[in-house]
Amino acid sequence: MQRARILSTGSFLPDRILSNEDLSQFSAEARKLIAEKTGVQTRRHAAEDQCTSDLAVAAARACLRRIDFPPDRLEGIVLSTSSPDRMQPATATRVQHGLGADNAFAFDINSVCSGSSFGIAVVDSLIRSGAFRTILFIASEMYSRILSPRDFSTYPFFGDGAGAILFRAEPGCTGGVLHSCLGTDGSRHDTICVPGGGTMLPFEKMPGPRSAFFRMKGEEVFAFTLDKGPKIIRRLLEEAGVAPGEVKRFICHQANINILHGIAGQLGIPRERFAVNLDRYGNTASASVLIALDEAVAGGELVPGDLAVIAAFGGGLSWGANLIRI
Amino acid sequence: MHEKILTTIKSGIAELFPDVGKIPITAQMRLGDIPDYDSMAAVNLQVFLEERFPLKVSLDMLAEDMTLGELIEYIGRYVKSN
Repeated sequence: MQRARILSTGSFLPDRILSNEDLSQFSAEARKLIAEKTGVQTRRHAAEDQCTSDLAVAAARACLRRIDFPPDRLEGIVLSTSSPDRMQPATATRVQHGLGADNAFAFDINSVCSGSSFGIAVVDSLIRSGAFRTILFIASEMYSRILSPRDFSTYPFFGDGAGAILFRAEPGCTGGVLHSCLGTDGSRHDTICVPGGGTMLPFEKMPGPRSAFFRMKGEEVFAFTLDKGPKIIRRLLEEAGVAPGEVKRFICHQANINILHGIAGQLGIPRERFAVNLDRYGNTASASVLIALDEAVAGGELVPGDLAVIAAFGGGLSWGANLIRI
Repeated sequence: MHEKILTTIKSGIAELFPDVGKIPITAQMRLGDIPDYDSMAAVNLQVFLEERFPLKVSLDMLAEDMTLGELIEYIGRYVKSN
C-alpha cells in the first residue's frame, strides 16, 4: 500500500505585528482580558494589498524551496480556507497560477478551523487511491478581513497566516499519514458562522453590515472543544494502536491556551508536549496546525521517525485528528 | 430623556445580539437575560455605549445582574452631570 509521506513543510506569517495594546478600540480593562482569556499576546495582520492566496503562495514557496521541488512537478494543490479571496472561483486556482504549478489541479476545502485535519485526510486518500503521487496541501487564512474590528468576542483572538505540507506517494513507506478520524455535528452549524453573503442570507437581504462578519458563540465552542478534542485524540490513538507516550508532539488547533491545557489535562499528557503558537499569532484558523507543524519540523522538535498527533476543531461544528510519522 | 436612551440601547442590543430576536427589551430586562451575554459581549456593549453616549462605563458595572433600567438611570445621571 502506498502512503502519503511528508516531503517538506513551510509557513508564512505577514510582517505586521499587533500587540494587545495596539487594539485601542477596546478599553484598557478589556485589553487585559485578551491574554487572560486566551493566552494571545500578539497577532499578525496581512498588508492592505495582500489576500489569502498571497499568503498561501508564500507558504507554498517556503515549503517547496526547502527541498528545491519545482512547482511544475506538482500534480495537485488542495487549499483549506474559510476566508477565501472571493466567493468563487476556488482560491486555490490563484495559488496554482501564482506558483506556476501548471500541471496541478487545484481546489478548495472549507471545514473552517478543522480544515487542516480534514485536508490532510483528503490528500492522504487521493494519494492512497493511487491516482496521484504528489500533492501540495496548504491552509491559508486572513481572518483580519472577515472580522468586525469592533467585535471583542472575535477580533482580538484571530490572526492571519498560512502553512503548507508537500505529500508524495511512497509504496512500502512506514511514515506519513498513518491514520485519520473525522467528525461533524451539523445540528450546530450556526455556532460558528458568517451569516450573510451566501444563499441563506444574500447581500441584498442583510439587515446590516455586521451580517457579513464572522461570529461565534465562544462559550459553546469552548465546551465543545474540551469535549470532542480529548475524545478524538483517544479514538485516533486507540484505532492506530499507538500509546500516548509514543507520540513526540501533539499539534492541536491554536484557539485558546486554556483549551490546550484542558485537553492535555484530560489526556494526562504533559502540557510541554503540546505545540503552542497562539501566543504569537493568535488563532490562525485552519492554518494554525500547519504553521505549528512547520515550526516543530524547522526547529528540530520533530525529526524523521517521530510520531505526531494533529487535532483540529471548528465550525460545523467539526473535528478531526491525524496520526503522522515524520 | 430616559425613553431616548432606551431606544438607543434597544437598537444596540438588536445589533450586537441578533439572537435576541423577539424577546421584549424592557427596563426590567437583566443584561444576563440577553442570549449569549458574557464577559466578551460586555466589552461589545461597553464599546457601543461609549460611542453613543459621552460617558465611561466599567466592565464591572455591566455585570449580568444589572437591569436595563439601572443602566438607563446611570447614563441619564452621567449625561446630565457632564
